[in-house]
Formats: sequence, structure tokens, C-alpha cells
Amino acid sequence: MSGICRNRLMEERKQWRKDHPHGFYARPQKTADGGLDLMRWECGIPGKENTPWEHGLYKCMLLFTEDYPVAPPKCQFSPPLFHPNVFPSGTVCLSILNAEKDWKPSITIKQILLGVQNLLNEPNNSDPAQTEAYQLYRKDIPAYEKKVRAQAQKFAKF
Amino acid sequence: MSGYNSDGFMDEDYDDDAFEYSEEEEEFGHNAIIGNSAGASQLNNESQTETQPGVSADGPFYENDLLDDTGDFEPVLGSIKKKKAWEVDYMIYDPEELRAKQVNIAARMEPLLGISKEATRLLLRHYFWKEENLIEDYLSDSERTLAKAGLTAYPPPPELKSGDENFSCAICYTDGADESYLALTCGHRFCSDCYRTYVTGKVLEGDSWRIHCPAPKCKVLLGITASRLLLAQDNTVMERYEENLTRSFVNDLDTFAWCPAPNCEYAIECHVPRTAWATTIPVVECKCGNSFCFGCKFDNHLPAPCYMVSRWLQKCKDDSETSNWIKVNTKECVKCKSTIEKNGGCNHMTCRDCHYEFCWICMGPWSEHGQQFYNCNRFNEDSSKEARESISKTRQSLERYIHYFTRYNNHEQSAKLARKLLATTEKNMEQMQRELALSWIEVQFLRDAVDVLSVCRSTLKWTYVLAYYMVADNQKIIFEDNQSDLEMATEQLNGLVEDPIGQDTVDDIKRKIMDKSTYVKTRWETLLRDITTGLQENRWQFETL
Repeated sequence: MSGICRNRLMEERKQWRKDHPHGFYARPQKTADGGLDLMRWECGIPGKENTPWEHGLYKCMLLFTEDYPVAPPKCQFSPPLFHPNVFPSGTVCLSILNAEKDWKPSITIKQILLGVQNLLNEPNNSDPAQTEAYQLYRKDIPAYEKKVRAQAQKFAKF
Repeated sequence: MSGYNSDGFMDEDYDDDAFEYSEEEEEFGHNAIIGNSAGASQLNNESQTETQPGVSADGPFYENDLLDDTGDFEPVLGSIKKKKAWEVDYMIYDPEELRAKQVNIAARMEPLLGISKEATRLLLRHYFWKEENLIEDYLSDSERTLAKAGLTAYPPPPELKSGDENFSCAICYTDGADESYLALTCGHRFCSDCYRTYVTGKVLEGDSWRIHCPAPKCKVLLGITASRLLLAQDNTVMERYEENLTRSFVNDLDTFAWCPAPNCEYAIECHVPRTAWATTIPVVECKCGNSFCFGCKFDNHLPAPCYMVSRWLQKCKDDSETSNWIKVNTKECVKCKSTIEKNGGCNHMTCRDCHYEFCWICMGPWSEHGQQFYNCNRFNEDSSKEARESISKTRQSLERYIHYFTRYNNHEQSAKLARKLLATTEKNMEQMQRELALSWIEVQFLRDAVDVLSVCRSTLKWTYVLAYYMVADNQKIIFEDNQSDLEMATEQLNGLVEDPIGQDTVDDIKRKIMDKSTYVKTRWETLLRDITTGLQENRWQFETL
């Protein structure tokens, strides 16, 4: 599907500009010569209201390969996030982003970002990606939530 | 093509051409004619009883024409092929036969379930071919069973459609009436190009029937017919798809395994349960000639059981040469157990670690030696004896291990040499045919002898592993007597085979080799039979592993 990778991403961009969920952003990165790099998208995911994640806007990159949409993009928080399912590198561990699990070629960027937003407050502790958040979430929920709130403060949108 | 046994010595093999089956038809819904094929129904018969050769017209028969032509020989044949105590029943399948086997099972289940052929096939795969579980679930709640697997009882035959103005592919966003698209029972439509790429990607990753509709979260199975429809243009991927289907069949069943030999395409079916592997060694011999253990997939390791083999191999990996060298070249300090290599000088040793002074010869304290450098005559003094006895138990157990390992290794090396010997033997045979004017059949005795040799070497090798873990008692002595009988005879045969053969000696040597081969074979059978029954009777005690 290498041929359709760029066309599909252009279409994704079109669809996103037409309609996207409130508080989110997603746009291809600008290249040095002022063009757009469709393979690298800068995105922002807001924390859901009434959760310890609210008020924060978490920045991540969606990194596509030529195999897209047969292969899923990589979603990487930058800077890395305190969350049980985010690797120390910032990469998100989520079933819909795994080609061997639930990735399907028709999953849109909107669906990915909404999926990641959901994951923020609904971590999957059977699939830990970092020790710090995992251990704290397991042993001391109040302390964990305190840390999440502090993080939300740090990444607060203006 | 039905249950037959391994036999290291028999050259006869069943003729697998007796087996036939109808091609799996591509047309969906078309009824199979599989059941009519005699060969296929035999294959289908999962009973493990040994088929008597030559009994039925479509049963297996020997390649050996002489025997096959004479019906009167039947009883004799039966006794030749009689199952030995250590042999297990198994069947060998080539890829075509594997496909037929799958078709057969599906054909048998179809009328029972009363759903389409396609759904039956997929449901069977979903249940890892566990027919009882499938029927049980299906009878209690057929709709739920189907839905859980992402299936419908009668899916309409998949077809590529086009001509819808409103169609837009959710993957590539191309749209319009020109686009051909496919939709499964779930109604999700994708253009045929995207579908094809999607399926191709999955197939190249090793998937086959487990491919779902490309819509997010949709669990509807694409199905075999639709996959074939999509891949029809690409032969390479299509072949890979069929391969994956068969692969998943063999991998999903505990009673099936691939022959581990490189590039071998055969699979083996064996019903010896996992629980029996401690006393029964499920050794099978593939049509490619590779003899291996169905349980652990390692080389034929008769007569040592799987758990012992893995333990032993691990031990060999850990210890082996290093311990060997330490054993030969060092001693331990009596006091602090440091390992000491004596690389020169006199027998008055001073341990570098604890500064204990002792005599290298008797290991006794040096203080009692006075001035008798280089000449220890105190070997039996009490203090020296004590010192020697205190030398750690580990060294003793190491010594014991080395004893068995040396012999095990010896046979392994000799087996390798035997293979080399086979090459020279073949040259010898050619030479004999030319120089001594013997016919091909007359020089086969050499090849047979080498075959016997290598089988015995392998068996002997593993008896040492068995012996290593065996607790010493009277039964072990009997075991070791049997072992040494075979070992001696094997070495004698080896000697005979390596002897040069000349014009005047050929008859004599041939007779000797043939006699010895027969004898060795008898010893081999005796040993294996004894060990097999012994294991099953719990005759021996083994170190708790």
C-alpha cells in the first residue's frame, strides 16, 4: 500500500481540518524548506474533564512509515509521560497501535488520538511499559493521582 | 498410508501412492466427494491400530515386489513388521495429505453442524480442531458460538462489486462508481486494491484464516473463500496463504508436528500423550530419513526419556570441557578448597589463598613430611587419608559425571565417524563391484552393517545418560551388563567393517560381518526392549530431577 500512504495522509489531513474533536490538534510537521512532512504529525491530546488529567494538553508525535496504513503509526509523547503504558522513550503501548493486535488499516488519526485520550485515565496495568507509574498505580492510587495532577499542571494549556 | 512404525533397520517402506484424495474444490458451497476416496477415508481414520499390510486392496503395501506379489507370505510379513516394545504408532503426511486431512475433518463435521462448508472450516480452526469442544459449544448455543468466532452460518459467497456512486473506501478514500469493492456480512466496504494489500500484508506475516474485516474493532472473519478470491491474481502470495493454512493446522494440534529437518515438508501425527513421555519415548522416523523425538523435537534419543535428555544437555552445556580440564590438571586445597594447578616445582605446596602447606602427592600436611622432598612415602598415614577424604564431594560427583560424559561423547564422535565410514564404505562397495565382480545386491551387506552401527551408537550414547541419572542398585548392574554386551559387540562390528577387503578374504569377511550384524541387532533389540519395559515398570530409581 506504499503507493497510497501519502494520498491517505493527505485525505486524513483534509478530514481533520473539516472536523476534529474539541481541544485536540494534529498537523504535519513543517520541514526546513517550509513544506509539510506528511510522515510526521505533531498532535496535542487534552486530558478528559473530571479526571486527574484535566487541564493538561499532552503533546505527541504520530510517526508514519511507507507501509501505512497496512502498518500503524508510532505514537510518541514528547516529552515522555508519567503513565503506566508509556515507555520511558515516550512511545505509547496500545492495542490499536499494534499491527499484531487490533490495528486495522481503516483506523483514522482521529480514532487513534481519541483512543490515546481514553488510555490516559484508563491505564491497562496488565501491559506495563514503565516501572515508576506502574508501581505507584498498583500500590498507592492517591499518590499516583497526585503525581498525574502535578503533571497536568506542568502541561497545562494556556 | 496408515499407522506404521519406526524401525531403524528395515528398508521396506509403505507405498504412499496408495493414498489419494480429491482436490479441495475452490467453489464455495460445492459438496466434497472426499468421502468416496478410499485412501482419504483411511487417512481420516484416526485409529492407531496397525494396519495389517496387504489385507485390504487400498491398504498400504511394501515396495518390495517379491514379497508383495506372494500373498502366501502374509503371516511372515506380519511378524517382520510387528511393533517392537519401544516403537510408537504414528503417521506421516506430505503437504497434500495434510490438506486432504483438513478437508476430511471439515467434511465430517459439516453435516453435524448443519452450516455452510466455509463456516464449518473456520469454526474448526477457531476451535483449534478440537471437535468435541466445538460440538458441545455449538449444541448449547449455536448463534453465540458462531458470533464469537466472527462467523455466520451461511455467508453469501463473497464477490467484488462496483457501480455505487456513494462508495468511498475508508482506507484510501478513493470513491466513485468505478471502484470495485468487497463487503463481508458486516457491511463494511473497502476497495479491492486496499483489501488485497491488507490481506497480502497479513499473509506475508504468516496469517491465514485469522484475518478479520479491516474496519476498526470489526471481528468478522474474512474467510478462506474471500481470501482466495482476493489473492487469485498473485500466485506467490496465494501459495503462501495455502501454506499458512496448513501450517496453522499442524501448529494448532498437539498431536501433529513438523519434521524438524531442514527443508523437510512432512508432518507427523502421533498420539502418545504428553503425560507418557517420561516412560515412553515417542521416536518417529520421517520419510525424509530424519529420526527424531515427537515430544521434544530433538534427535532420536532412545532410550533416555525427554526430561532426562534436556537436563543432560543443559548440564553438558554448563560443564563440559572446562570441568574436564580442571579435573585432569588441578587439585583442591584441602583447607580452603581453592583450585590449584601445579605448573612446576616440588611437592611442597603452599596455598596462595590460605597459606596452608601440604604435600601434592598425598595431600597430607607438610609439617609431617620432614625433609623428604620429592619423595612422599606417607600415603597411608591417617592424617593424609583424612585430608584426601575431605576433598570435596563435588569433585567426586564431577568425576562421576566425567565418567559418563566421556562415554556419551565417545559414542557421539564414533557416530560421526560412522557417517564418514559410510562414505568410504560406498566407495569400497563400488570398488568391490568392479574388482571382485560382485553384483550391487551382494555388496549391500556393508551398507547394512554401517546402518546398524550408527543406530547402535546413538542408542549406546543415550544409555549413558540414563545410567548417569540411575541410582546404583542390583537392577542397574543388570542394565549395565546389557549395555556392555551391546557396546562390545558394536565395537567388534566396527572393527570388522573397517578391515580392508581383498579378493581372497571377501567371502570370509562378508560372512563375519553379516553374522556380527545380526548378533548386534539382536543385542540392540534386547537392550531396548529391556529398557522400555523397565521404564514402564519403574524398575529403576532415578535421581530426582
